[in-house]
Amino acid sequence: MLQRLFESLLTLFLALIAVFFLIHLVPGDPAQVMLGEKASPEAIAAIRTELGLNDPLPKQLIHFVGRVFQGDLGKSIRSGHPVLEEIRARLPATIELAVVALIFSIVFGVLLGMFAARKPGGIVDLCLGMVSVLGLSLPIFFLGLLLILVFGLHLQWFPLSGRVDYSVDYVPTTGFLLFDAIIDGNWDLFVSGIRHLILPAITLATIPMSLIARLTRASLMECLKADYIRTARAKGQSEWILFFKDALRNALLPVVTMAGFQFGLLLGGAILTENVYAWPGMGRWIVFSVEGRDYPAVQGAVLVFAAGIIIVMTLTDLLYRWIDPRMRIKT
Amino acid sequence: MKKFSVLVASLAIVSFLACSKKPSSSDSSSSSAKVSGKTLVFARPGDSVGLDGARHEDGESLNIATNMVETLVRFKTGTGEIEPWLAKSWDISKDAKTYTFHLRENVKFSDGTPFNADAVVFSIERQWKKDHPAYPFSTPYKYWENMTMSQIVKEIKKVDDMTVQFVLHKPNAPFMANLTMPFMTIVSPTAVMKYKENYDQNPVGTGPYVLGNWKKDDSMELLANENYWGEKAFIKRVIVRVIPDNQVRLLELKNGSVHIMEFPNPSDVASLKNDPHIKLLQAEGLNVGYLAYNTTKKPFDNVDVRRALSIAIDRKRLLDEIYIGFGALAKNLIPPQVLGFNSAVADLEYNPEKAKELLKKAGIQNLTVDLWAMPVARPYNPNARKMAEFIQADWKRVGVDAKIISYDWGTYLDKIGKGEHETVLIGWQGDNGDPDNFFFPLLSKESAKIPTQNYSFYRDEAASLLMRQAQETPSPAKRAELYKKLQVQLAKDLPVMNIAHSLMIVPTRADVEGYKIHPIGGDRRFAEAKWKNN
Repeated sequence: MLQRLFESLLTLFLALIAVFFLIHLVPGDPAQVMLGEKASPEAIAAIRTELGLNDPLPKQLIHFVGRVFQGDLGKSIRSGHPVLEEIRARLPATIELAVVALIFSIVFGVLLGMFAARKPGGIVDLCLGMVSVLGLSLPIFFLGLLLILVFGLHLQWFPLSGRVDYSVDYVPTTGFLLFDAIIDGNWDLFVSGIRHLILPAITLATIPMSLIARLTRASLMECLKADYIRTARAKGQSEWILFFKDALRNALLPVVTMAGFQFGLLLGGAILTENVYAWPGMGRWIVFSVEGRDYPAVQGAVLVFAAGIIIVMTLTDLLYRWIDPRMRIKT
Repeated sequence: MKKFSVLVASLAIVSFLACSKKPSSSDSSSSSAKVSGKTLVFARPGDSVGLDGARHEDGESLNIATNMVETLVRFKTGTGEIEPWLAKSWDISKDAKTYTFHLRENVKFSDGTPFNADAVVFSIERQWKKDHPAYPFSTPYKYWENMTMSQIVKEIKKVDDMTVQFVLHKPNAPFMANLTMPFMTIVSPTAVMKYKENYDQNPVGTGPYVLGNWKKDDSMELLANENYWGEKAFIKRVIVRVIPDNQVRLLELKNGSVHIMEFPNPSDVASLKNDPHIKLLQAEGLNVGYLAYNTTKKPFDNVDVRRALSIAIDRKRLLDEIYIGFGALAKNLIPPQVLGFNSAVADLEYNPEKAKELLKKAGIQNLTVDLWAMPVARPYNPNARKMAEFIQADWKRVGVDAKIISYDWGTYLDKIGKGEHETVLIGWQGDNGDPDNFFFPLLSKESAKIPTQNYSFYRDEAASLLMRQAQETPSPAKRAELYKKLQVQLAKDLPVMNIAHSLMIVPTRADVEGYKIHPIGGDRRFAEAKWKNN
């Protein structure tokens, strides 16, 4: 356990150093690139001083790491406000979307995988094959537009984009809209939030759902062929208990690991999904920051994503050990 | 059975959510604002960074902020003519160095504090004087520095409560255009001192709207300022939404849930022309894309060679292929809405045969040219590399070989600033709508110093004299004459070949009236918008 935590901290530290070098990979003078064709030499010099680009590289690295450990991610070039403040305003929207998408993908992925495994070659299995091929191969922006066209514009079931109707009051407390709505007992806000969340969450969940469904199916079929199942069946165990209790529980072990991995994928996918659905989260902010060549902002965002993924992976590992006693014995 | 019930329940919830109240574009009121009348929804690709013109320089920030904060003078909507605004009149001294502004009376900031000479002096000095108490809040003051205001303004004085005087170091006619820019907006001193570093998130001015609820990267609410000194806004509530994807923004417009959208895809515009629910507004942008010849290198010092290379290029084709309907041929360096635009200057012809003759006359054979192309899309040139390929093909037809050169954006700017190029595709986005803002940095003798923005290193004495005279002449009519002369000379000397001004196209719902594209400054003046049949 302690070793795992140490590994995570080491990975985080390496990510930190990689993020530091991000700005130095920019070809040419980063200050000139940030300011564009109208930059005066004075403005370029000011930015260089502000970012400490005139110092020797090791000094810059130590300074950077020191600042990060103090919770200072620098100031955004575009807004002039602290990067951490900017991230705090946007991160909840992304987490909310990613978590709902993760829940979608696990619930529907496992359900689909289960039904497919029950009757391999049956209708559900064939459907799963089709859905997963489509889910894995359709680009997010295309799927997003398709859903907006069908369920938004034509059927008018869901709003086309955004996070909440502008006719509904929302002043963030925690930034997690659904959570805020529940705390405030604001039912209109909650419904509006859910209605806006469904299409982006489905879009974002498609790829991980396809992967989880396929893994569940394969793993379950493997388990159903195992000797202990055959023995249980021979002893007269009912098919339902066999399937859900004996086989499924074992079959879901790799799915847990997979779901942890998917979180990173979801954060990556969020950049595209947020862009299509005008979702006011980190993904879109990163796009704007990259376009605006706001390197402190990009550094901050990459660091937060890296930390998020490392934390989730560590938690997954710990959860896995908790679920599977064999892992505990090994360590 | 239990599982079946769960499935049915889930489906029921989804259908309930899908069928629950659909927000309509004609929502008559908001729970937050309690505002009567239909809300106008405006969609743009990105959010404002902050709403302080002195601090920020991106269009999305500046052009929305001007609904809440105002300047002493401004451009009449859609023209290059300066009109009185918070200043009701002004006098210019004989030596053209002292500008005295008489302020409008009975104007209040939206926080109830009075607009007066103290507020004007405060708004200027906070970005200028390092010992000013508000200076540290929003530094660096990018526009104040970029427009070299400290070198223009020597002093600002309060004459009396309603009179303010600017004393300049030397006569500078573009100063009036600078006053129309968002960094020169007059802000409530009380609000700046109250919000400090966060003033840009809580702007307080004298404008027709005040800021309501601003959800970052999502939407910004503007509410009509009921105590506005001028004609009050007809539309009482405006929601400025951020929808980054051009197609989704368009779908929202077609859906009626957005009333005005910006930056449609060029390929979508044609389909909108036949939609009876949609109107297209159009105006030329305050920018120019051009090809500069480095006149310090042979044979580009020869005007015949520059002319030959220019008329060998089919600019109309560049417009069709690169701007795809979003550009207008540039006759001059300045767009038509700018003061002094000379419409009498002849269009540059496309004549490859004549180009060959001119090259022959200049004794040029087997010419190889380095053609530099920008690696990034800019408002004035959406695809310079592709454009370079078209130019390369055109030059090939007259026997000139072009070698296309491109670097990453930072290196590109650095190298062309040092004059390493022979010919270069570049452009300019105007700042204040004044002709000097185009001509002086791009073509004056004074600006042809490394690192330069005068990429042709054009150092003509007579042309520079015209520019300096125009800078020192306060009369707009006289200035216009000087710039017209300058454009005739530039058309003769051809240090640069003007290619295009980008075209701004703004689709709106057919029931939106009165809203205009404001090509100088680009302000979104929502106060001018009305609903049809009202």
